[in-house]
Amino acid sequence: MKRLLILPFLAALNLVAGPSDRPNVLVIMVDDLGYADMSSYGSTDLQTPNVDRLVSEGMRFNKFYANGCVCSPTRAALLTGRFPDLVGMPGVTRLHADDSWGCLTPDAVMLPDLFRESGCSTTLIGKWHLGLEKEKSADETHE
Amino acid sequence: MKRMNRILLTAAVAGNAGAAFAVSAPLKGSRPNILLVMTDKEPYQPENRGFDEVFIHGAGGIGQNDPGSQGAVPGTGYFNPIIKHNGTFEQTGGYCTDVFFRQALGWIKQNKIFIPFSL
Repeated sequence: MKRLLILPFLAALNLVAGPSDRPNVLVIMVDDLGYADMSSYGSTDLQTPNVDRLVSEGMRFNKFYANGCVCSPTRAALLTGRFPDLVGMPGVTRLHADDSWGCLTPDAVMLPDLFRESGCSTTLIGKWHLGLEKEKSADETHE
Repeated sequence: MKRMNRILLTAAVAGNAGAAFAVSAPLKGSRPNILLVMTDKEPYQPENRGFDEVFIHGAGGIGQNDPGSQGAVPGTGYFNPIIKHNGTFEQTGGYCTDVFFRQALGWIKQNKIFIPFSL
C-alpha cells in the first residue's frame, strides 16, 4: 500500500521512490517561505542543511511560483491542481465575512481523494485552514 | 437548528481538550456571538476531503485565540500545542515544530514507508 503524507507547515515536493513500482509521496509545504529563506537558495542568515540536502539530491526549480501570495489559496491550488479562484479560494478564509475571501468548493476534486482511490493511505500534519464554509448573511443565520 | 448542533459539537470537543470554553461578546451588528468560538466546519475538514489521518492545529495559526479569531482551543500555543487529531483535541508536549515532526516520523515508521533519505 502506498502513502501520501502532506506536511503543509513545512515548499518542496518529493517523489519518494519505494521498493515497489509506485512511489510514496511526501509534500512539504512551508507557510510564508520566501524565495531566499533557504541557504541553498541564497539565504546567508538562515542555515537549512537538511532541506538543502533534499535540494542537492533532487530537482531545483528556479521559476516556480506559488498560486497565491497568502496561505489558503496556495494550499487550495496544491490540493486541487486548479487556480485557487476556480475552487472558491481567491484569498484567505476567515470567520469575519467582510474579511473572508472564500471557501473551498465542496465538490472540488482533491488530490488526497485521488491518491486514496488508487490505494494510498493519506495523512495531513500541521496546517489546514481551508475548513470554513461560506459565511452566511445575518438573515440566513437567523432563519 | 443545524447551526446550533455544530455549536454544541464544538463545545463538547473543546471540553474534551480541557480547555476553557468561552463565548465572546458580539463584534458588531447582528452577527451571533457564538460564531467567535466556532471552529472549522465539518464538511470542509481534511478528514472529509481525502485524508485518513489528520493532525492539525486549528484556524490559520497556532495561538489565534483572541476574540474573533478562528482559534479552536483557547489556551493552546506554540509550546505544548493542543492539536486536533482525527477530530479530537489532544494536549501535546514540546515545541510545535517538534510535535509535528514526531507525528510525521511516527506515521512514516508506523506505515513502514521506505525513505531513501536518512531522516
